[in-house]
Amino acid sequence: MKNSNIKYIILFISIIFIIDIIGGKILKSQFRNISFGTYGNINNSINSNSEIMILGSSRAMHHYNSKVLSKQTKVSCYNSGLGGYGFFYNYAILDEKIKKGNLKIIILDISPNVIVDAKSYDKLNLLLPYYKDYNSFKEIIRLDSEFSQLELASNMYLYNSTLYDFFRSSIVKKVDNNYGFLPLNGTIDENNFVPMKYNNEKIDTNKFIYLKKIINLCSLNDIKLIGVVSPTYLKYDVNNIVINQFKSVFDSNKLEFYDYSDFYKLYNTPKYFKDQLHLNKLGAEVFSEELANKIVYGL
Amino acid sequence: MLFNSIHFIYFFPIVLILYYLSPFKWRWLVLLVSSYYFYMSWNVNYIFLILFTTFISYYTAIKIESTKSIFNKKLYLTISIVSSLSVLFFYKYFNFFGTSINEIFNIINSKPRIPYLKLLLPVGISFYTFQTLSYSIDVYKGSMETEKHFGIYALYVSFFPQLVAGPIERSTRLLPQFKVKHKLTLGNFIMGFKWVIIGYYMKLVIADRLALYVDSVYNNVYQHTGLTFIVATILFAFQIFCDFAGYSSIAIGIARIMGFKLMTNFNRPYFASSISDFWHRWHISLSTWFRDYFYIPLGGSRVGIPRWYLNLFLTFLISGLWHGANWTFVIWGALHGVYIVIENMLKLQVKKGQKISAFKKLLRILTVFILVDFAWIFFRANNLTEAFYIVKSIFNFKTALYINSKVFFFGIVGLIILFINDYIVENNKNSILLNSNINYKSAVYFAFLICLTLFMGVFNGGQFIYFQF
Repeated sequence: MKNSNIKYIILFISIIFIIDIIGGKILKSQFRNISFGTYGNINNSINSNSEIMILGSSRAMHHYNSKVLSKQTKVSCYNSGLGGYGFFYNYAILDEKIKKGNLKIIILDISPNVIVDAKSYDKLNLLLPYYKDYNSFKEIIRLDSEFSQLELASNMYLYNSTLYDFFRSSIVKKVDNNYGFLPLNGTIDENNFVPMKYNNEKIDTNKFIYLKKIINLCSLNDIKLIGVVSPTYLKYDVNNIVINQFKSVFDSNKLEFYDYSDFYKLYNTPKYFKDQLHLNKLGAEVFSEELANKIVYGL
Repeated sequence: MLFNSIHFIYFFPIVLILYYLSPFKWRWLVLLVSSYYFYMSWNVNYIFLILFTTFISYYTAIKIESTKSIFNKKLYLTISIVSSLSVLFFYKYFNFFGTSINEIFNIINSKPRIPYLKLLLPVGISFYTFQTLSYSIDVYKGSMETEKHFGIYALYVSFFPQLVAGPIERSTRLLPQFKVKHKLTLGNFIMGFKWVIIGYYMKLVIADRLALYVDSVYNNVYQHTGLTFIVATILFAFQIFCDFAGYSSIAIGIARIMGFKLMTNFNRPYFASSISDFWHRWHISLSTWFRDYFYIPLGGSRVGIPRWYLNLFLTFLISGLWHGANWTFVIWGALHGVYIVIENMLKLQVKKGQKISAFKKLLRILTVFILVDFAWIFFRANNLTEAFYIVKSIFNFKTALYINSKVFFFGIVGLIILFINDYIVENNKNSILLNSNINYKSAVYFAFLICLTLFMGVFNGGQFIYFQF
């Protein structure tokens, strides 16, 4: 083996390690500055000092107007719902947020379709940038058996596909005036509407385990947990098969649980919905006011 | 087991260590067991099909060589070809022809008669079938001696780097390599590693990223129109190139690390300045297979002009059908057949040594790309109805372009780097990017490429497109 070749091979390996270590450090320091988009929502959720926190998936994100809830309850509120993410993410973000110490109320949006969503494990890769910093994130990322220790050892891999978010964040300077709430515009197209319904798909028991972990976290930290099934245009869980299972979990823990899935003010009224499972901006406002009143009454 | 899976990342180093540590006389066994394990990781039952095809082609080849009677030679060759093609036909084409015949029955108001069978297409069946066919034909023609060692012959059929998606190797080229003791050399390691890095970059950074856009358009065609179809089809041209050439590159690279030289399968096809030039650069192992075992036996160009054109057209038509059991592939092949016939009629090829201006060359490259890309519509569309819908709506600009800014962003960055890489190699065939040397620049370049793949690649993109063929 020629000496020059060894020299270049050492150079080659060194460059990979240097880029991975230094690049990883730079990415980490800059990453927390992303303030909008999915990562912005996660960063803001971890950093916010709100006393009410909304948890859930896309239905939480689009249904709970943080400003309306804050105004009615006179308590600061942040919407930490994240499209496509359910109880795994909710648990991790809650575990981090609790360390801030000022949480009083958690509103956990329960979406019947999330419990059967098999793709939710694939989506955990989006949370990789938080892997090394937060143990709760590490725990849920490891639920996806696809990740090997080999991949997770690389800093560049942990920040995989975030280049676009850095690029966008450096060009578009946006402030999150809606406190995590992301209103949807438009109304349901009645002519092309095809209703979806729960079809006895297998329920992922792992998700129930994480629901119970959320309940335990709240109980240990003296935080009021409210379970809410937010409105639907037409019921997804027609026979309440999934909803009743959730209800029994909440009831057995003596926790408040509200089912608004066929809420009379909004149900089957196209002007309030973007699609079957998502309220539009107007619908979200009506629903948030209703829920805020309920919370105020309960307080 | 996919090249882009963690399973393979562990599998290959283990095989490599076992291979080089084993005594030479047992190395074939290490590779054969590894290859069968590699193949069985998809479905254990597939192994019986490959064993059947291997045994029949091995046995008939020995019979072809040992018999003196021409009739018997032809008989054994026929047995070999028919049995190999029967397996391929049954698993790949039975339902296709059954459904097509039933549709004809429907048109004439007769009840469907051919049942639809629930068959799972064994991965790589078209590739290893063609490899066994070429062996039998070569033995029949006397251009190759039979391989007496069943284990080594079985390894030729199932050699894991190229088993499921090629390159389709010739027995004359690959079999002798199993009888040579390969030493682990730095040159082979460097060269193989470079091919592997480029292959992974093409697959993970470009192909799987573009697939996110292409799939969302082509799987929901009725929600899109003109501009979106144009963008999706252009992106598909690069997706399929990077997917398939990426696979071939990894296959060539891992074989090279073990000391084996596989044939180059892609030669920067989108730099082609004519359709025939494109086919000298795209899936070279398949196009040369069809040339040697289909086109030339039909008479090739040594016949009258109309027959020559028919031979060309038929070769591309059958090549289309080889790709998949769907009329979309047949039309894709037919389109290329028409292109090549017209090109020959009008003598549009650039002759060797002929100099043309850079502008004319660019114009030719763009024209070839547009023609090839138009044909990709049929290759990618899920069925014929959707393919024609896309063709019909491609100039309808009623709805806005569907934008996936993340795909566009990563796709453009990834393609720019690949273009620079290919441009350098296209203009300097001895470029350090692909040879067995390493210097300061190439060390930096390949380290950068690995980091870029980790940083920008799509790691849950799934299997390679050509596995379905």
